Amino acid sequence: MLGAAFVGIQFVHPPLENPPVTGDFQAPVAVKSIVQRACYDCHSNQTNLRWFDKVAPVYWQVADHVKDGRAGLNFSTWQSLPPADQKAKLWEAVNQIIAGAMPLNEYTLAHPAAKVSAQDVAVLKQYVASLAKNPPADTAKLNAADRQYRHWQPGAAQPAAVPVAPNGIAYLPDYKNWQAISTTERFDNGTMRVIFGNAVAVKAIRDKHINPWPNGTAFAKVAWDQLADAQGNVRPGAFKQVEYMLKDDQKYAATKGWGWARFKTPKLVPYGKTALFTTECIRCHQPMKNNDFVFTQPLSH
Amino acid sequence: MQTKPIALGALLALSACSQNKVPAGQLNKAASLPTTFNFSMLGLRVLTTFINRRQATTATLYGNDRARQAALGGTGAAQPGEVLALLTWRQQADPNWFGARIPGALQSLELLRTGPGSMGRPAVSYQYFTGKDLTQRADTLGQQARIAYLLAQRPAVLP
Repeated sequence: MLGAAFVGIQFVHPPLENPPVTGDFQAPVAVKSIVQRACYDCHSNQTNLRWFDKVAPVYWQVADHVKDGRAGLNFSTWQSLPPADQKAKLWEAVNQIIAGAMPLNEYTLAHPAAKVSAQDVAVLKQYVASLAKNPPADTAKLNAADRQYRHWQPGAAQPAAVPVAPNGIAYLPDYKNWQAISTTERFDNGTMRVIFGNAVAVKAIRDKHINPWPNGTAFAKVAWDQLADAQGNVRPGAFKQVEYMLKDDQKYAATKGWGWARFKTPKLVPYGKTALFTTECIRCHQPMKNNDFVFTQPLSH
Repeated sequence: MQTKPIALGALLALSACSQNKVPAGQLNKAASLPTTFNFSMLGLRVLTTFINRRQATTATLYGNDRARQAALGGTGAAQPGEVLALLTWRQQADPNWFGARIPGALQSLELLRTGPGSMGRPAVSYQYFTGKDLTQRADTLGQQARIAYLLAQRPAVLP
């Protein structure tokens, strides 16, 4: 009976094809061979299914993983990404590997050759670190920051319509009055950040109740360009974005208990075309799932 | 053929396990201020933030409304009633993100206050605290330069 059902489900076989490779990932051989071995089955158009991958019900899960994997990161269409996005994807990938979130355990269990060793991680870290260049700010960067500063009217009336992200979360102007719970120098992408927490967050920090964070917690993370001088003094340049995480395990149950939003440039342009943009947020924060999806280690004042 | 579904089922069941290398629910203790200092009671807002790559430090500048208004004015001339605070930390690698540095050991707090002065110039008081307990230092060496530096900073754009 079980055998018959097993044979029967083999006919439920949604297609999984390998579309053409339009612009393959380029990197030194040592790096590329690790990436090909560990990532390409799900993150490229060169998926190599073994016989056991093609057996339902495993096949259904495999097909899903490949579909999701390609949507998030596809090394076969790599050249269509702007250089800054390529770098960001690589740093994110290395961080996913360091955190043990990638490659997926269920994948390496069946494909042990795809496991990433400590030595592989060292090679990948060294490679992405070699891509991070943060030279002193040039005239263009300085001018962009100055222009933005001049046009910034603090205390001036907010725009008539409050910007709203596609998932319904509105920009919260009050973040500026919240407390800073940490700062970050991001040498991977040349930005610097302040992470603000609202009163609920600050109380949770004081009470050491931060995993999970209580409902009502709100974080705002602000990113600026780094403006470095020749002596290595760095100050904030152009404002890039403000990102929010709003905790409500009921209201935002579908997105890991958090409401996510990002507003870019001083015009506060909402990020994302549809409410599905949150899958991107969650994917990046996934390695922190045992830490309530929060990267920041807060400090108390 | 009977064993195969069972083996595959076991495989799927195992996939529910996951690695956990990330420390969970941790505060950044090294960077935290002594609770007895009551820094938050000063009621200051973030004005801007800095990094010193050579010294591997990071700092956040806070100010009250008057200090903020004066800094936005960009005149550099202090008005009475300003409060500015600069917190400086040694940096540490971010345990949760390769590619980032976060505050590590608390290094110092510089606290500047302006009060009514004479001849149109406010009186400026400057206090310097160091270490994780923020012990006040009496040393006044370089104080004038630090006062000038603190009063010269431009706020970061916070739309």
